Amino acid sequence: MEKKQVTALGGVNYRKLLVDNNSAVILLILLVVGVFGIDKFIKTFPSVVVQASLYGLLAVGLGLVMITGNIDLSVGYQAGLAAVVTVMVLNATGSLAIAVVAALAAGALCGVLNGFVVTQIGVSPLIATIATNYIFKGLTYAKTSTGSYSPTDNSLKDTLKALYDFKVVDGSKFMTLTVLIVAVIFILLLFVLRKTRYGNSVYITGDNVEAGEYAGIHTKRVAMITYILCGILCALAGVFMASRSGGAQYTQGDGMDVLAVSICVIGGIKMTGGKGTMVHVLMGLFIMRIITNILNLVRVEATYMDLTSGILLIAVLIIDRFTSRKKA
Amino acid sequence: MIEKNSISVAKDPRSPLKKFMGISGSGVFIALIIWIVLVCILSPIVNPAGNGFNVATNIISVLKQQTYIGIVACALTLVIITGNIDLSVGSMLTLTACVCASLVQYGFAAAVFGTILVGALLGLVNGILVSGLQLNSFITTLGTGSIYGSFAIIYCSGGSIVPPSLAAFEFLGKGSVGIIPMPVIILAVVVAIFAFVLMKTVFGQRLYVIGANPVAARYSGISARRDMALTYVFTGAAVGLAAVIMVANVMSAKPQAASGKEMEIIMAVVLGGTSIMGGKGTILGTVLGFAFIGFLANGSTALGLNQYLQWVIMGIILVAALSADIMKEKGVVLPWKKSK
Amino acid sequence: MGERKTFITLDGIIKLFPGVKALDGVSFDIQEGEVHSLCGENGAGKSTLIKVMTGAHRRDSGHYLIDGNEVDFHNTQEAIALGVSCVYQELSIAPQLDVAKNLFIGNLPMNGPLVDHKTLYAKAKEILAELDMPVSPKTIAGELSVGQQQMIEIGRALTRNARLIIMDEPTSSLSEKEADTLFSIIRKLQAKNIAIVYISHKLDEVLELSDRITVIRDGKNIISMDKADCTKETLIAHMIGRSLENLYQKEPAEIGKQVLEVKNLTRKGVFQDVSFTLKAGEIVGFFGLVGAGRSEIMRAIFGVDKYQSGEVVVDGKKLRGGSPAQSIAAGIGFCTEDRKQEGLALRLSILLNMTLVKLPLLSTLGVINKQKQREAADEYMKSISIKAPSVTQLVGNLSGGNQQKVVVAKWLMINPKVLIVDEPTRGIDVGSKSEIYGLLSNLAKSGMAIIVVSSEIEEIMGICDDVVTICEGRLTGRVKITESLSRETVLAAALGVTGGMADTDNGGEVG
Repeated sequence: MEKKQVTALGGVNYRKLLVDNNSAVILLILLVVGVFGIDKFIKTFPSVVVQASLYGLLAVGLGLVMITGNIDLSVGYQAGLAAVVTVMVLNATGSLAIAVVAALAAGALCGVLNGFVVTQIGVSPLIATIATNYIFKGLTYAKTSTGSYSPTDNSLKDTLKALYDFKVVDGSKFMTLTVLIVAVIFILLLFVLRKTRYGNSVYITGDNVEAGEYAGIHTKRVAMITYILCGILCALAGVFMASRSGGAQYTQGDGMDVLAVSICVIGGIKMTGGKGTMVHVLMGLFIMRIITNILNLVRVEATYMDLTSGILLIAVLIIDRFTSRKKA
Repeated sequence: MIEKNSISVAKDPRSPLKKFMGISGSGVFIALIIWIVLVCILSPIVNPAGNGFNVATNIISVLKQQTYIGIVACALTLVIITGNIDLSVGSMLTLTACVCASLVQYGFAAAVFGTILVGALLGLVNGILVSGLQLNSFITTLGTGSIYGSFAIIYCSGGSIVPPSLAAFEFLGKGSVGIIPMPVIILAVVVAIFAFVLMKTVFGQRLYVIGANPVAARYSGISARRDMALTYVFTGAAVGLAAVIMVANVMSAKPQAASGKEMEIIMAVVLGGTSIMGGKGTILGTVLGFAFIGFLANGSTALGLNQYLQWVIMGIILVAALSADIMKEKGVVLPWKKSK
Repeated sequence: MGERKTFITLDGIIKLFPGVKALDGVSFDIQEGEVHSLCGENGAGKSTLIKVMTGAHRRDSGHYLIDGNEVDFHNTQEAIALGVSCVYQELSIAPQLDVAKNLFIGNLPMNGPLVDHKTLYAKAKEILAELDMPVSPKTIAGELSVGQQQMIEIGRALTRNARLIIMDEPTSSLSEKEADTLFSIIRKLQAKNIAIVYISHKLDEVLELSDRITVIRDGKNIISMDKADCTKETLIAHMIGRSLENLYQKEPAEIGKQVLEVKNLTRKGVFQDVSFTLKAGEIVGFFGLVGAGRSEIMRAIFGVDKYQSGEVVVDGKKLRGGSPAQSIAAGIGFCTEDRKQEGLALRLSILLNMTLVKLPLLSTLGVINKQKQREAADEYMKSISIKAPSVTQLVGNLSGGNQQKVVVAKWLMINPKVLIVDEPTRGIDVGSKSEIYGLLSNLAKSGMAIIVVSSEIEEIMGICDDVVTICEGRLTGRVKITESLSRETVLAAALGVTGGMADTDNGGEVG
């Protein structure tokens, strides 16, 4: 009862490629529809890229955690908390640089908390991060309960906003500092996951923990680091969000966890771990943002976005279920 | 020569304290008592301007406040015991509330039973997707949650629905029998029903097996798929009932009514000792769970605490409770206690 | 062939577990480049010995020397570093990663701080070539066949410069062709001076491959022989040896009418044309090697697995198959092979586990009669003497023997017409074993038809009326157990050796 031997030396198994990357297909379809069918699509694309960069940070962080087979539902409020910290420290020290560092440190701490509870104590990541989410949410809301929490000094506020608006290439509509930094991070992580020993360990931890342990890999440590990285990335997102709005907003974290998970799953990151790359996250990100943009342009209410993402999620699951059955 | 089995199981050697701690939900119970005592002592000191903390009247108000969460949490307990989850309950509640409000004009039966039926159908969709198609329950219900939430907004055309006055209906939400409000009575009935189903029926006991070891369940002739789907249907029906009470109480329904509530409901269930892995949990534990969350909010108000600090405290207590639970189960030895 | 150097020596190894002396002074040495096989029945101590060698267990006393130096491994990593690798029956492959990354798991070739992909795939290619695998190193491991995945594990050992590769039942899931490939690779490994410790029940293989064979029984090594001095018969004789005190309390039972008929049951690649009948009061043993397909046949009869053709008829009623619930209703009970994974919910109480199948009968309109449930459980607790403080005790806390009793009780409660027990005494102490045998005997006396699937010859010969042998998915014979029936005959039939076993059903010689 021998399985067919797969010799991928010469030809590429196109069918398999397609099935593995159904998100690419969806993205392609969306782009075609957008470019040829929707008015102003190309014109608004740069702003899509800029907005995507923020959510991209959250999704990338979450993606890292998901590859190891875990999850983090507190991403939204880690970002929110970081935004609050940014403003707080900015008010206290007047230095944006210190504020940013403080925010990133706060994010790392959040990551340490999550990582500790999940990997060291062993609480299920789902409920562990729902619980920590309350802590982050509470802290965030405590400061922004009035609606937003802005720098006291107007000049500080301007400094803050300048970060987001800063255009690396003058005149370019989408080459902002934010986009640049996110792109760099994205490429960096792509590189780390593929070319470093740690990156490989991340995949092994998600694919078969026992095999990893047996081979001498410290899987708990590997997973812990993904949580810390996620925390830092969320914090960076929070800094940019604060910058964009000139302060920390009240409802910033709301619904972001669902969004981030949707991006990852639709993009092709598996819940069970061990599979998926930053490219998948990117595809999921663009799928979601392009759909939002298209819906906007066609003057459809925002609620249809939720509807679409929900349907897409389930569709992706079903496609997955039936294609993996065929393999077996 | 092989010796006689040296593992002697003659008497349960655990001390009474350990036995008590082994009961699901005992941790929350203790935490609850400690909290109430703390609040009673501290509130006149910390917040003399406040109304003080009268335990008796507060129990009722807490229960009334937690009715919707409580009803759904009971049903969700069944889902989690089988090893699944349902993240769509918040949106389901919103949607069924909107539907309910629009059904009131057709009379009591339509408003009440129609809504429950709608809820059950929504739950059935979840059930078919999760156990019929064998999809991951987390992502699936995340997806259906988004879908139901959108339906709610579309159904209400963005605004809110205000039902016409209907005395019998409103009584469910606003009335009371003696000093006990109707919602609390309904909650009590629901708790009793679910506790009964879980502990005393074949269906309920089988759920534990499905969650603890689905393979063994199969070998014992249990139809896991059908039973799992049923838990989702019950959850939907429970959501429908909660929606009825909610609408009857405020006599309006708007699309943002219950977003985000699913996390609180899940927390209530898990706090009560129900394991997210499945196979373990009780309705009593769930009751203690949502009561505790309710008292947290209530007591914090009495202590004059910022609403948001409540969340922080709740989060910290949750993490502590979950950690303690896992450490108890895995028998984790504290590093400083390790011998050798 | 010149003198082979002995480089690993184990001397007087003792390993104790609570209540069991798994290894009682085992001595064993390994020469470079040899294939040294380890033979013994289930429970003889082979896997414990392997675990001591690979560092998974620490010995309690005795010497373990590699290249003349005493070693004491705290974990498997230390053993791997000194060249001792093992390919287990349960493979540890990361299915979504490619072959190269599986080969070099935890051991990636580095170029400074970065992974050296060029070297990785080049080296992987080399190893694949050495293993005669026409597979690209970029192939996803999960897509390979079991045989190929096993090769990857062997390849992994090669990447760690293994000097000894232990193989535990390597051919149990392989096809004949894949097994041949494995053998040629083993020859290649030998040429590289790598020693192989080969553990297998398949004596033909063992005799063909090995340079030396060591037989282990009851935690002691009985004999180490050169291949030349060995025949199958002598091997079997050493493996079986003297039996323990009479555990088996088989009393004669009255044989009634036919309750089960299995006709031409076939599942492609797993079992073919299986046919037999079973009468009330009979205890029939199904004997075969690991991988022969016995459990698969039983699972198909019970309805957990499907089958492609054939019939299962219980008391005249044909089962439609694929439904455990229907089989249970028809009167079949099934104590599975792996009680922890398939038979019990360890987190739950004895009460629930035991009454699980009978539950509908202990209730009215779906509501459980708690008192009846409790009484039923208490009754069985007593009658099969399950040692626990009360029925509310969690099953996970019980000893193996008591756990098995709970499983058996679960089925007895519904009073099945046919009870299938698969490896009923696996991992159980002698005292409980004896009790279970007595129980089975009594059940047969009361009219139950019982099928005992087992890989322990003695067990089958001790408690069964007839024994059916299965070899590679086919029924190779059925014979009544009498004083004159020798164990060797039965073992030989299970190993597919021709001649010797008359088929009482068909009345002729079986080939």
